[in-house]
Amino acid sequence: MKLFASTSALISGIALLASSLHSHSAHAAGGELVINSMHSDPTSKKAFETILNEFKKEHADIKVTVNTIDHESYKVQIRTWLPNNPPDVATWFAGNRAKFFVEKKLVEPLDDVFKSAGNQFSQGALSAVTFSGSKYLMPTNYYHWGFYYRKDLFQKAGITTTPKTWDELLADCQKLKSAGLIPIAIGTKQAWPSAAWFDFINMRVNGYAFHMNLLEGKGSYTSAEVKKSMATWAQLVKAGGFPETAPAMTWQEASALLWQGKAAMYLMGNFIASEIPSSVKAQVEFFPFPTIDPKVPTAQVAPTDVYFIPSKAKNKANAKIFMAFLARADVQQKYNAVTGLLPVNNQSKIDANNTFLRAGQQILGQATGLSQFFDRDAEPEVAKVGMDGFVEFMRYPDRTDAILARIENTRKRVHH
Amino acid sequence: MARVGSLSFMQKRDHKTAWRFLAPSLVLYGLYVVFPIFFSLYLSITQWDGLSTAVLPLCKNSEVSCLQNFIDLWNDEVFWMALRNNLVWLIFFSLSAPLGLALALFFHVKSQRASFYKSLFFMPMVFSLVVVGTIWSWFLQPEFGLVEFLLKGLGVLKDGEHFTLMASDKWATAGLIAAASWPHAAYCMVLYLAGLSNLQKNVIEAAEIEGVSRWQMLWHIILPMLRPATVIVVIVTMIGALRAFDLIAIMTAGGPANSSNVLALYMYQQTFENFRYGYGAAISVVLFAISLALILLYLRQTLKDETGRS
Repeated sequence: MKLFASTSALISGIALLASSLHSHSAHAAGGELVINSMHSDPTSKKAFETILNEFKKEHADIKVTVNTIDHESYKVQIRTWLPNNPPDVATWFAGNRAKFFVEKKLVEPLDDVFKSAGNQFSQGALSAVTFSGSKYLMPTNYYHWGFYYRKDLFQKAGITTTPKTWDELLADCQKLKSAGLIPIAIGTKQAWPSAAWFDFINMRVNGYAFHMNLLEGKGSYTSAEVKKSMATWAQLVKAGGFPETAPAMTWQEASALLWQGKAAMYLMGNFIASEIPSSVKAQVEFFPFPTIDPKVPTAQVAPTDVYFIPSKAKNKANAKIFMAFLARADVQQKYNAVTGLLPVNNQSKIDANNTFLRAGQQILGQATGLSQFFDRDAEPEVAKVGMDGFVEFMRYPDRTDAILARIENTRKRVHH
Repeated sequence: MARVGSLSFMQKRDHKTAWRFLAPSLVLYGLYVVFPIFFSLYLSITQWDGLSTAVLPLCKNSEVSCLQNFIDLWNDEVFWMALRNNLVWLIFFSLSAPLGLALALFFHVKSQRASFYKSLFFMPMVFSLVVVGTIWSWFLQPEFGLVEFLLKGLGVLKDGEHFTLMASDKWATAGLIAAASWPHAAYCMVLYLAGLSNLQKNVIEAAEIEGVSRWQMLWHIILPMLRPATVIVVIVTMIGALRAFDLIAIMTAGGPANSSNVLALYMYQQTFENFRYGYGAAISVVLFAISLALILLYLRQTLKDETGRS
């Protein structure tokens, strides 16, 4: 829906201008707090309103203004207002997308806020908001990735336990194929679902540190390590693990294959849990991405939403109050009771009946490292060339070398 | 003498009034059309990331050539793929012009029923291209789509086989052009219908008395008289093929793996997804140059033909 972006960009640009003019004239006792949010979909908007009302109750003297901008426009516009006319608090992503702004000195450090609340966050979560020793972002929620599978179809193919290793996964794919099923659903009409496969395989084969180093632009895509990851992935592609129709399907269309009983499993983020139709709900369960090399410690993919204070914010004191508020376990619990995502504060409670959330909390809590997802960890350009390359690879696995060389050329140009 | 003087005064006043009436649209035209063209030209020699406040040419204070973006374009596989696809579009999208002409000739009768069917054919013109793209995505969808369903029903596709047109890196563009031709043929039909209603009846009657065949009538009498409509049709078709964007963004996003990308979409992706404003502007400059060259060539040819005849 990017087509609408330009019009809505214009409109929200005008709204922004109006609101920032407004904040100039503010110097009341309690002061103001201007928040720019990209959480424009109904659920996350409602979640944000819930905690915002709470905040207004606790700090009745602070006048809060929220500008909600649609997701795609926000990503473009932030580049205009962040250096020139920023709000006091803004929403964003953890990882490299934030690092870009941190390095340009556009983000205020939050070390003092974390001094009191830091021990309530796991090391994995803190690593995603820390840049050269300082913490800059307040994580409010994340979600896990893994396999969503049909219990009944696994049984039909004679599979009794979910795969724990890569070899078991390959063997199960064979069994599912002989049972006339698509082993693994995927839709790559938008290229990003393919990148989850690269993230997981590369982290399982070469480890978290190698993977993050590569995505930060410091490692080479033509290295023997990356080639090894691609060769591992190629085993699954060549064994016919994925549907040939994948490039013409969106991720939602591909999930329909799972609901209709045509495909047996799907590597996806937990946002899929809310899409499971009630007719098959009892049959859909979760298992984490299997181990490939037992010597490599397990890391997970966990895209994290954050809030931060722009370094040119006008009401920094109020913004810090808001950050401390967002860090609280009870606030994150209320927030994510609505979003259906996992709170990052490890004191927050989750819905005990939600097996997907419980599984997610478990694997993310145990993870030695959390990555943000390929297109958030890598530079946008490298990510685009990379993801297009992965889609091509899933059709023509023999072109691996040419594809990796192309990604590497882009990486060299971007990170020279 | 006094009269002449007052006339020129009148003329002057008329000019002033004319300029005053033109001013608002000229200002808007300058702001939204002329300025962006030159600003894009300037951006194409920069490496603006959309964030920095100073936008300097690439070659200022550095050893990089000012044309670095164009050099990078030359070495960019996706650029050539997009350019090739634009040419494919140019050729096959043009087929909607004869299709529109055929429809127009077919419906050029005065009857209530004809105008009902005419409006059915005209319908896709009314849809926004986003809607057309969404509908065709559903038609061509390889697992649950209408075409897949029909081919399965007819026994063309066996069990386990799929209609993989849009999943194919060789054929996805064909599906896109088919979708784009649907409303465009209707547009051409309307332009030709307007042309047909302006034909000089006495020429046709004279030809009928002379007893020309139907083909001779079409080729030597009707088509030459439709020339003004054809000029418009060719130009809108060329522009349509070169600026194809919405449908592709909706139906394939340029995929699989850029195999159906075109310059306009690639420019958008580089600029607003990768934040390479300079590079995106360079693509737009190339696209602008191609469009301008093609249209100037065509117009020159048309004018030459017209003056040659008169």
